[in-house]
Amino acid sequence: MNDEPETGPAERRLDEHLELLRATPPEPSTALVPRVVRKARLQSYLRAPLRVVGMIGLAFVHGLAALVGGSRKSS
Amino acid sequence: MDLARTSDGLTAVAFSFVTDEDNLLVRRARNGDIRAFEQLVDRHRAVVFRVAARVVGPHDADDVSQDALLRAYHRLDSYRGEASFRAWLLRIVHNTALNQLERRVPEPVGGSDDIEQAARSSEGGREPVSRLEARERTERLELKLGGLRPEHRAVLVLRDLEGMAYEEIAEITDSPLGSVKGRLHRARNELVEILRNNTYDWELPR
Repeated sequence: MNDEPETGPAERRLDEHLELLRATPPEPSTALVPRVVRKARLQSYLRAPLRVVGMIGLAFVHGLAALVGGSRKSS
Repeated sequence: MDLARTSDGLTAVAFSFVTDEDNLLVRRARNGDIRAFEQLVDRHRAVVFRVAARVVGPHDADDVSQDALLRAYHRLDSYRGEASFRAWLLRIVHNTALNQLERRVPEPVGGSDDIEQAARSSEGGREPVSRLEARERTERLELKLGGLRPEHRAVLVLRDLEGMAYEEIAEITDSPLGSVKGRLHRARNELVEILRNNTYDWELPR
C-alpha cells in the first residue's frame, strides 16, 4: 500500500472506522458452492441438447424459407 | 528493508503459485471437469461473496454471487490468463452487482428510519456493552456505505476493505488507473460527508 496518496486526518479517521467492517467480513453460506456446482452441471448437460434442437430448428426454418421462395419463383 | 524485500518476494511466489493453480483448474474445467470448477468456486467463494455483499447489500449477495459464478462458468473460454483469475472473476461479480443495483428501485438511505433500524437490530441478547456498541457502529457504517454511488462504493470496497492493489482494481472495474484513484478519493470524501451529516458522532476532523 505504499502507492497510497497523501491522506488527510478525516480520511485517516475514516480508515479507523472501516476497520470495523474489515473485522467482520460477511461470509457465504455453506450451501453456495454445492448450489452453484449443481446448477453448472445441469446447465452443461442441457447445453448440448439445446444446441442440437436450436440447429435443427434453424435448419427447418431455412428449409421452409427455401421451399416458399422456390414455389413463389415457379408461380 | 531486507526483511520487507524477502516478504515481498514470498508474497510474489505465493501469488504466482495461486495463479498457476487457478490456471490449471481453469484448463481442467474448460475440458468439462466439473470437480475442477468446484475447486475454483471453493477457492474464491469468500472474496466473491464479500465483494457482492458489500456492494449490493446482504439480502442480494447470495443471488449475485451465484449468478456471477455461473456466468464465469459459461465464460471460462474467454479467460485468457492476462490478468489473475481472481481479477477476471471479480470483474464479472462487479458487473453483475452493478446491474443488480440498476434494476433495483432506489430507496432512501441514511434517514432516521435506517438509524432506528440499526439500533433496533442491535437490541436483545445479553452482549457486553462494548461489543454491542461496536456492532451498532458496524451496522450504521454498513448502511452509510450503501449511500455511496455504486461505482464509488465498489472501488472503496475493493481498496479499503479488501486491500487490493490499484492495478487489480483497474482490471476488475475495467477502468484506467487514474480513474480508479480519482474515484476512490471521491468515494472517501463522499463517505466522510455522509458520516459528518449523520446524527451519530463519528468524530471526523474537518
